[in-house]
Amino acid sequence: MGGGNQGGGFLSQGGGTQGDGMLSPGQGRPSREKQSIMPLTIKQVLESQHDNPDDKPKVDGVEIVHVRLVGCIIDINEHSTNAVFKIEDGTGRIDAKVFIEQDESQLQTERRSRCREGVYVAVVGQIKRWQDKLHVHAFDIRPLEDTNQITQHFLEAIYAHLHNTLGPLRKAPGGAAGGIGGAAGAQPMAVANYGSPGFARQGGAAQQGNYGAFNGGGGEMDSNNLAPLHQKLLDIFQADTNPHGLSLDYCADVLKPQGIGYDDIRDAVVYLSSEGHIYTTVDDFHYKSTT
Amino acid sequence: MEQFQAVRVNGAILPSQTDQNVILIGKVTETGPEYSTLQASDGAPIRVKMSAGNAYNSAYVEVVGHVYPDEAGGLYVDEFISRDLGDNFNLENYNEVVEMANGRFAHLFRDVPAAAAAAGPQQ
Repeated sequence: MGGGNQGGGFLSQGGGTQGDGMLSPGQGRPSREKQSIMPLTIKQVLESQHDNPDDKPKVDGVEIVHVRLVGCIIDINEHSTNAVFKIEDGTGRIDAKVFIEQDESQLQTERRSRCREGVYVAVVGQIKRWQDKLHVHAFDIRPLEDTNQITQHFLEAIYAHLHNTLGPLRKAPGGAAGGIGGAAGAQPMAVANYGSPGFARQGGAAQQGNYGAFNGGGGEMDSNNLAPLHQKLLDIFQADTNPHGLSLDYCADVLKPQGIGYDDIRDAVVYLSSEGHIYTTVDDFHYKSTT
Repeated sequence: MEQFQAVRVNGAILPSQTDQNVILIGKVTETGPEYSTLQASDGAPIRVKMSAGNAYNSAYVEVVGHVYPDEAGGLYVDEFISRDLGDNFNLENYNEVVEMANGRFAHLFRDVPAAAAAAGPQQ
């Protein structure tokens, strides 16, 4: 990130080397997290967990207050007090319901009038469940100013997913760009300048460290302060009493609902083993906690 | 709500989606009354059978359609609908999304068979 931290939206990054963990699962989250806007695909919204009607829905185990979706309007139903926009992004379809205020400003009216069928829009709102059907209660719906925001939104959704499942981004040692899933490491910067303020800007190339690292790159860990995935795995191993320990497959089954893939788990287990937190038992696929 | 999913494709991914619904973003290189050709985000040319009476009004378009084999042994996209994306769309950046949406992060974009998800999709 090279000091050019331009964060200031849904995922503010502290300082560049270490995110402040405001979105990471765990205790003691600062209250400003409650204001954060999570970029999601429609599929993620439709699969959000609604365990308790009084709780916020969860995606990747994280409570979701506000969501940001980008999709194309395929249908509009206007009523006297609200308008329902059906949105699709290729991952699913969902209704975005906008309440029309009596004293709506000219700008709002004008913006909404440009939200027609076939137009790509950005929607910010809350996930609501009504009669077993999910919709988004939208505070804001507006046409994209630049269609590259489609690309940007999906990259942000992937980034947020990594942030929520693997923890905050850390700088790769020596400034080597690990890259989200490979070649994309240098790309987010190119799309970082599109669109309105209010969502995260990813600067720089050298910041992708840990997300690439989980796929086999470098990624120096702070041994006192385990990444959320490492802590999750260690908790699983420490809770286990089986003399043979636990298999990687078991860990994969436990963490699969959180969207964590086998490769990430294997890499995290190798890390925990190399740091002395766990050791192999009957074979290379079974591990047990050292404590 | 009906669940409409369409995989975002480039030229390399298209064959895996034969007889499926897809979303193709590309640059319009040829356009005729019936068929047009889009340069997909990986540079591959893809033939599109345009929906009746449709016309493209920008250099870059998004086509939602169905992939069919053609008589020459290739594939074409039978368009349901298209959306104009303007004249300044970065296909290279978008191609990264397409690759990730069909690779490591497929589970964020479409239903992935459980076995494939457990094994962790490889790139």
